[in-house]
Amino acid sequence: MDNFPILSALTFLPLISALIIFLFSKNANNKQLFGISITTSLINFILSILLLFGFDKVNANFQFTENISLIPEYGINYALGIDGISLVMIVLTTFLIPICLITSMNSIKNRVKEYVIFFLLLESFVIGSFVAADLVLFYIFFEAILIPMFFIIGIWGGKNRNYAAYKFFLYTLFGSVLFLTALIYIIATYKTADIATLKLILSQNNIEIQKWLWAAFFVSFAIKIPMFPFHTWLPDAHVQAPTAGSVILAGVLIKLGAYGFLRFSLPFFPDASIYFSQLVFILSTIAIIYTSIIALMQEDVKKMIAYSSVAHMGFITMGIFAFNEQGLHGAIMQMISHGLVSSALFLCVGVIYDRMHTRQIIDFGGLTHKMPYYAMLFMIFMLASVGLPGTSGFVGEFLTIIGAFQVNKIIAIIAAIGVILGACYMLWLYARVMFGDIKNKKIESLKDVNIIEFSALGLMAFLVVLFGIYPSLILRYLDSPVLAIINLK
Amino acid sequence: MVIFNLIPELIIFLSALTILMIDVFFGKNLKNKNITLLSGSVIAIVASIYILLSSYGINTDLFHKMFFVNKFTSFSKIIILILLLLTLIISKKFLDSEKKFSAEVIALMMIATSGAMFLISSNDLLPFYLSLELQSLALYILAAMNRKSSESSESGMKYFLLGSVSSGILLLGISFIYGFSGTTNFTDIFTIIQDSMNSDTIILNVGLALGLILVFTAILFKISAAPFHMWTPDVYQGAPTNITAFFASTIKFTMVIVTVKIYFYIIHSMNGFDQILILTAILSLLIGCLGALKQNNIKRMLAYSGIGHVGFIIAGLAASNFEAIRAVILYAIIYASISIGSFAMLVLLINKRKDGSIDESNKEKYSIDSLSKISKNNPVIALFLAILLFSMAGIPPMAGFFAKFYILLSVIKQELYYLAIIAVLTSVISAFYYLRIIKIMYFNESVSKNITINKNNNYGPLLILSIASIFNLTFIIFINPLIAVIANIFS
Repeated sequence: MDNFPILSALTFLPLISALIIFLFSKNANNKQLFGISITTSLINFILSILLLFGFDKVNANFQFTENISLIPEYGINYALGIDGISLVMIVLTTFLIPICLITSMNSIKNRVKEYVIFFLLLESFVIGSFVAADLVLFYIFFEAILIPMFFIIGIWGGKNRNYAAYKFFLYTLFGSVLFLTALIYIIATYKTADIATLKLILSQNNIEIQKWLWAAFFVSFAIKIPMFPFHTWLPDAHVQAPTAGSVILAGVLIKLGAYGFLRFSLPFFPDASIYFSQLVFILSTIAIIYTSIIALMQEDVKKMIAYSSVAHMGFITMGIFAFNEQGLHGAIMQMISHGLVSSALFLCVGVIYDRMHTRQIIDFGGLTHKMPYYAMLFMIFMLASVGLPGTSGFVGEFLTIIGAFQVNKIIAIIAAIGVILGACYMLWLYARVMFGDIKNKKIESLKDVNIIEFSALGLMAFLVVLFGIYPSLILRYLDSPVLAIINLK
Repeated sequence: MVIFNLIPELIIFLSALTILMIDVFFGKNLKNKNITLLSGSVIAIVASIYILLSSYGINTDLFHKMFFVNKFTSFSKIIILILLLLTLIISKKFLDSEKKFSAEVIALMMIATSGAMFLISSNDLLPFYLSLELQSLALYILAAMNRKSSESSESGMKYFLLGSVSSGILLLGISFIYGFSGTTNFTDIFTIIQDSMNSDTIILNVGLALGLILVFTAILFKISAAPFHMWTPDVYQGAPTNITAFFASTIKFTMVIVTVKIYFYIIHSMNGFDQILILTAILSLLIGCLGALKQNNIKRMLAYSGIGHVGFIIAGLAASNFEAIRAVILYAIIYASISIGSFAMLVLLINKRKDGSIDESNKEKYSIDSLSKISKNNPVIALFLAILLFSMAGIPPMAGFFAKFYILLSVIKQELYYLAIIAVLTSVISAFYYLRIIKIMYFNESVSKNITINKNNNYGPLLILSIASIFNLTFIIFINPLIAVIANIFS
């Protein structure tokens, strides 16, 4: 068992399953296709749970390492390894993918074969980028994610899907190529792509070099997160993507940007990170305030949640660049929390969209009368998104604000005001959708959530509350990697 | 025997003549003429490759140093022959439709290839010029080979006229070089340039420099680098598709090798020449990516995208370190594989009229919209083409990513950061039009009902398409051995 390449298995199991589906499922019906893909993703989830048990929490180095030489000349290896940060992100990914697939069974009817293939590919690439312990390998996975996501938005998306798919792809690619340029500079200069080694070498660089490299990395990850002013692709992508696409986009993909900051920007360029931290703070607070105000004015439920994502990601970047223990803990906690909460909210929107085929707030009202269970679940996620104490959202926002407060008090105060704005639009949204009289006749005939939807959303609600009450379930995995990052300062 | 080292070239050339003779004397009696002729040419190519492989590593010169045979030339010739083989495999359908002149098509392609092989081996400006003309003259005819289409004639004529001008420039350059240096031998010219660069007193003769620039201009024309790219879109569009594949793979690869050779064997040590390369690279990158944006004809679009790829190759040359040569050759191999795959896909398209007859004209067939039904009716073919397009766009883990990766590595190593930034930004823009084809294949509802994929008895292009795309998809496995082989050819 010790020598079993569990990280490779995690990464390539979905890929192999996708290949098998592609080659051998000529006559399979939709149920069988979903069955195979859901089984695969559940096996993957179990594997990632096994990781949790085998993981050594005290060790800050990469664990479960695997290493095969790819291009020895430049020190590029097929090197895998995880620390606490990647571990929790992997578990989040493997948890969300089966939920995405299960909940798409009702809404996706056409081209199911391609759909499950692209989702499995997506899972494989996302896990690949979390387990990569090599810069080039990370880039390969990071970039490859664009391909399945482009298809998921473009084929099963809404009316304006072409535009959204393009915008998503080109925007992200633009950021990635700057990352690539910086990455190639690093490889050409130091002849190694091993993240652990680079951490030691690069952090000793003088600040001039660090600044340039930091800027190139920053643009790429800031687009991915997305930070203000690079955020404009996200609302389009979310609104046009199918429900499961939005879930995975909000739940995992945009976290990759924050993961990039944690894995590369801070450890590689600590001096530049401190130098630029004020800039990041300002951009983060603009994101928090500005996108919250925009979210207030949205007519479309999904678009509102998309904008709220940008605001929440603002807390994450603020926490990361506070560069202290509370800030980093809070940021990672917020990543997990937002991964659960916003995914659940997008699933909730999907539930009513499948029934009503509209997402305009004005078409709803009085849903509590017809869908009481749904209203209850939605409320939990809504409150978690607002940051109510007792939900995971609170832990993240609280810790990031503490972290920021130690560095820059004004920014922390403004961000705290942003929390109030968040409460404004979420509560107002809830009031308009759930309460009041039923105006739209379609609502009269609505059915409440079915057993699949209820169990998926209920499970997520349980986790949201569990992590809110007992955050150390996650935080204990983060202590040693966070300390390792801070020690580089 | 000295001549022994030229046997691979001679096999190709003589079998081309034999094919013509067989056609003249027995053509009418042969039952499966095209199959017979094709298999004859395949045997010749395989024999030639075998001889090249068995003599791989021999380092020698012939005819008073007019020709050179070493690992570099042998390797390039092997790749060229493989590409010719692939092109012939996808040409079968065209040959069937072109009953009368099918032997000529095969023979001309082989003659052009033998010209290319002589070209790569030549170490003197005179055989260089002669073999370039041998190749070009065959290509002029091939471009005009589709006699039913006026576009094809136009493209042949255009290529011939512009090609003659470039030949004139080449000859002018050669006479300048000979006049001011007294020699036409590459090695001697290289020594003269190096001496004048190393000493403080003697400056490089202006006449010699002008001659070198003129020679290089002619090569840039042949490789279709901006600003000498004008002929490319028209020729690509007009020529029969299999011939376009030949242009985009075999000939492009040959010209890249020739450019590498001329640059590194002669011009390399000339100060300031890299500025010309950088300018050409930037122009090609920009014209390639901006020109392709608005094209509605796939072949035209691929022509412009080819110009962009040449921009990458020349950017690699401008870096002019050892990594760069390797990167350029790797890029050329990968680009050739993508081109041949995507043109093989285009060969499969047919335009059926409502009454069931087949429309041979190119106009409708290669409009981008004609691909709109493919992902539903032929998911595998659509997938293969999508892989090739992602590879061209340079998305990992496809081969195209590694090609660009190595080029950028050498460019950044040379500290040409602005060139690297321009290169990556143009590759983002170019991703737009590759995605456009993918979008049409996967997202759009069908627009044209007439155009379908003809899979019946058309296994050649299918085979090439699948080989090319699987090669591109799984390239990460081949990268190390391939790089090792390429690095070895200079030892």
